[in-house]
Amino acid sequence: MTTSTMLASLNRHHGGGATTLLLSVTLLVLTGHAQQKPGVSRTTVAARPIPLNAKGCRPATLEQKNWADYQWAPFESHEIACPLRTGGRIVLVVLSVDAYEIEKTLPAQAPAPKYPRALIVTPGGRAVGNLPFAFPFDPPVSLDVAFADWKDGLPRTVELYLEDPAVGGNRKLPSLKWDEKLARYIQTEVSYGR
Amino acid sequence: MGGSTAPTGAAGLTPAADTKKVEELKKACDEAYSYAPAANSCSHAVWYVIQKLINPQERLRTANDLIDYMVASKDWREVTVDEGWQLANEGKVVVGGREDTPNGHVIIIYPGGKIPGGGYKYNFTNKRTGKVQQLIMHSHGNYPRCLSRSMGQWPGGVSKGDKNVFDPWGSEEAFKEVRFWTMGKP
Repeated sequence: MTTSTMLASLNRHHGGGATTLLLSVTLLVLTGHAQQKPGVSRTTVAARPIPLNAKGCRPATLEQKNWADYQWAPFESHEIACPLRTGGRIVLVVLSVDAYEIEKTLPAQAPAPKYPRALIVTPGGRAVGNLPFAFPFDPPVSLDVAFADWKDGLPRTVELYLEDPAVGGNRKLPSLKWDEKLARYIQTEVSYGR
Repeated sequence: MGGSTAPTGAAGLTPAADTKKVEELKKACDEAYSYAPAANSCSHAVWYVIQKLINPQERLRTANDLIDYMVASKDWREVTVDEGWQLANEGKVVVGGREDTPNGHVIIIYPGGKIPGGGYKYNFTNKRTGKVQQLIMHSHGNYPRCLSRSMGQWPGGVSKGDKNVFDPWGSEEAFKEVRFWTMGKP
């Protein structure tokens, strides 16, 4: 049933007020405002994957830097925090290194740095997973990340897409899935290529 | 990153008996690099070397098909990258490759010392600014040289022994799935 036939049907049975009602519900879902309404399931919110916006990354705060372990020490001055927001609140933070800035400073003959894999962290600082690369750039590859399968205000799937200029080419990577028992995102598929 | 590393061979030197084979392998790789149909096709370059040095009747296979064939074949056996390097420096044909969708990639280990790789420029889009920028590919370590041709624009995918076996794939995650095969028993 299309929206117009649904509206026609509702209006036949309930009068013209049905149009207003249906449009209001649609707007609530689309804008995410349904999340704040008691009794409305959060599963209706963010039904579509929400991409992690690389333009929203900012230098990590001192508190955020403490989320990283010793392997991040060489990159401490270039750590960035990329917030995942929905409905105006931060749901998760991806902690990574700004490889764009680091690469600018490297001499031509320098060996490639081994960048730490980006961390997925709750706003409270609990690490709940790793991305397979630094975000959004782990030379020479770039990573697109989207959070999907939302339930109870949290994404259950992390979708990954790699932009690879080398012979492997651009490709979708195996998604990360939320593991209830481990309370973290894990990779359930092991294959990287075909 | 230093210069090239000398091939070690079993006794640190390439035996005289193998010198001719090494020169033949190098010549076949150089010819394959210049072979017109291989200009945009890794599998044509590898096919050229196999036909020249192993089996003139060998049929052409795509990269994915060639890898499937070598995996299933009793004539080909898998070797490590270092074993492959030793064998290439004895003049043996060693094919490296990784399957992918829709196209995998195959290479030949080119005889000679290991080299650092990298050093070439590539373009990418900066996701934080949206601008296209250029960077230098840095070395990911010393690896054997390779013969590689490619349909893509990646500079690391085109090598006449001047880039190493890591360069075509360019990342640790992809390279760890690259496997190597040679013909015959140990």
